[in-house]
Amino acid sequence: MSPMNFRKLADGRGEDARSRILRGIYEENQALGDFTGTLKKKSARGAAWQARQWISIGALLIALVGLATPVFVNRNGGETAAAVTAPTPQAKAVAPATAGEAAAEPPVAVTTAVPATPPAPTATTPRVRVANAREVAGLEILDDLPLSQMLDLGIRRIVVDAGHGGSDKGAVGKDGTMEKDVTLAIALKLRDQLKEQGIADIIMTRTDDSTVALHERVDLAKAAKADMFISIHVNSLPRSSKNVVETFYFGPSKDQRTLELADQENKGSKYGLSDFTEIVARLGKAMKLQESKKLAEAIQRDLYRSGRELDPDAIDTGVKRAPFVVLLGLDVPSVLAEVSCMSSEKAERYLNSEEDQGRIAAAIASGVMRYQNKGAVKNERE
Amino acid sequence: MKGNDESQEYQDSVQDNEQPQEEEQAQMKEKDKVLYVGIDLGTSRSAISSGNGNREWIESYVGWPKDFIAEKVLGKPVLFGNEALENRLSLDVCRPLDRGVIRKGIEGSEKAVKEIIRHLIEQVHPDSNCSINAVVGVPAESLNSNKLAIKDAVSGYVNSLMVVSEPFTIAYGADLLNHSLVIDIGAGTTDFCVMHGMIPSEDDQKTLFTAGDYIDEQLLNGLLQKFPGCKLNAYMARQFKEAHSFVGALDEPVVVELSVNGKLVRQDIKEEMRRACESIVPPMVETVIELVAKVEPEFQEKVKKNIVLGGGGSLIRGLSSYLENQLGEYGNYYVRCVSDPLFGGADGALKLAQDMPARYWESL
Ligand SMILES: Nc1ncnc2c1ncn2[C@@H]1O[C@H](COP(=O)(O)OP(=O)(O)O)[C@@H](O)[C@H]1O
Ligand SMILES: [Zn+2]
Repeated sequence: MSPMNFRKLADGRGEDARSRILRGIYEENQALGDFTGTLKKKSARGAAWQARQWISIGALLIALVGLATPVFVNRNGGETAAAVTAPTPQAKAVAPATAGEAAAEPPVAVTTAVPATPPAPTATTPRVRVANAREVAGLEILDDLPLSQMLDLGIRRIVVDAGHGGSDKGAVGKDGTMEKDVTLAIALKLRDQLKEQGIADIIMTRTDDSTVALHERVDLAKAAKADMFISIHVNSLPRSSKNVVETFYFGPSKDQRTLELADQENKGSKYGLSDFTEIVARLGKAMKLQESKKLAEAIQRDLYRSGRELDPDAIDTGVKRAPFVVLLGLDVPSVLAEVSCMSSEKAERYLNSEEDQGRIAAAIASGVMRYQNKGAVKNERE
Repeated sequence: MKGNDESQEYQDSVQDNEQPQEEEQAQMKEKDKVLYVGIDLGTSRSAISSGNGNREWIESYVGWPKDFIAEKVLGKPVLFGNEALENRLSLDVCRPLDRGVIRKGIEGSEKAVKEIIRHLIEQVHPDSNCSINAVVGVPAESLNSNKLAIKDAVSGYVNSLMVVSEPFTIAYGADLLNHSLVIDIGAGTTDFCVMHGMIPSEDDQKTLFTAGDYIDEQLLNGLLQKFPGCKLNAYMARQFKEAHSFVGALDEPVVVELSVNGKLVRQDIKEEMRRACESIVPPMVETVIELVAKVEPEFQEKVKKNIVLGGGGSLIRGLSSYLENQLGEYGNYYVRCVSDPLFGGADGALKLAQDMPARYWESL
């Protein structure tokens, strides 16, 4: 705006229209109330980010210090993973609250976030924490991880999901054995086994023959802030009587049989397989999938071993990816085990045996424990 | 989306590091830098115009995935504009400024305004260490009852903020500060604002609810009447309108594809289109006359010659001359359209922000 224009707009009061308007707007807005308090200030803008940075730096520090002096970790926590039952605050929630302290003393922000816990019954645990803290510190998705995972406080809370139930029978065998009954029996036994292993906090998606929607199962697991999700199913092969044992984690699949299976297990959710193409591509690099894969491998190994004992002809088709809806909503290691095949007559028989159900449950439990101890094993070798 | 932004930032910083010294100096200077932005918060479209040269607009729809699966499928916790519309079956969609008013108390409405503002500001990529001074143009109707709510919604994302009424920002941007009448034809409202060298008072402004959405309704009804077995909704009517709107005479037919009794048929909907578009004109004529009559007599002729149409509705073909004709009975009127209806409001708000003396910003 040139002075010439100003003059052109000027009125008798000696103030040009433009300045008058600008002043008018200013006054009107000032009259609207003083919002300065609620307006974001420069310092506040970067706070959350800073806190995140410090937490990751802190995690790194803990990892490094922990490598040099394992005692450090013991002093600050020293709990067994299994013994801790309190839910851990999420990294996200902690970040803004501790921003100030974090800036002053980075490592404190991290250690204070670790709840005080009973002393360690096992000696290996601190090593587990160290190994995983180091692994995790470099990951991009750090801020999306629960703090419990970032510092690997271990697996405390597991959701055990008995497939199907109520009006949803699942696969049905030649003799009328229903998948929903078998999965429930195994799930209940798995709960007991895991408790025996020291994981006290087991959440069941169902404990009786009730109908539970897939999304309810996931919602439950999310709300519980579980560290792990295990879904139990029994396969059924339409064109074969083979007894296949397989464990799945979420991911894309090109295998026709796997896709058919996923479609079968996803029944009741309103999503088709095509909906998952994009998600799968996007989640491809996320750590959850890698962790889920590790968990699936651990479980599959033990599951197949026990399957062979029950049926020498059982086939190990290994760990696979499949777009199961029930595995989708969680950011913690999640797997779906098809523990056996209802379409195999031999399998249908042993699936009805309490004892054999117990063996299958034990196999899954030992897979879980092995997954959990992997970090320690790895670290000892280094 | 968030991830993309971050990787973009990361790339930027990598490039910057190639000239470390310059970068440092630039950063020192940036420290106290202020970014001015103008935001046009509309019923159907919201736009931002930023002092760093970036301009963006979105449809003012905000959608939240209905459940966790939808969220995974869509890949983001909140969607905007067309993307929200396209995925509306998986979303809880909110058009927060329906009828030009932020609906306080209505679930999601305030949250949606916040999301729109945050999204728009992200779109112009403000420097992380600069402070943001924003002028937000809101539907004229919001001025009295809802300015506070909007101010509240915006305050989290900017350092300093002023809220002004929408047709006024268009007027300011087009340098129509004196002896003019600006008509902003939006989706939910048509807003009138007489400018006479100062900030408009209540008497200088008027809002009608016959605007774009009203045309859509009229068109929909007209088409359903003419083609009873026709599958149509307001969204489709709007698409037809935006492609073929006109008033007055038109030499060509208006042919669209309609699904009648399950069959796709091509139909000429020229008459229905014309009637629907012209339906907003009579109340406009009345309001123009009413507002002009209130202007001091010696300036009335000037205002009659300085009527300017803005907003998406000003894109209706033939509207300015048609309106001029209809006003002809009442005198010598001259009506024209602003040059950039899409960004007229946002650009004007930006200009306001930049012209605003620093001392005003500081003492807010
Ligand atoms: N070519 C067009 N012809 C007629 N109406 C249009 C055209 N393009 C957009 N519109 C309408 O303009 C309205 C949106 O205008 P806009 O100024 O963005 O509104 P708001 O400020 O209320 O968000 C909508 O009703 C839209 O359908
Ligand atoms: Zn099943």
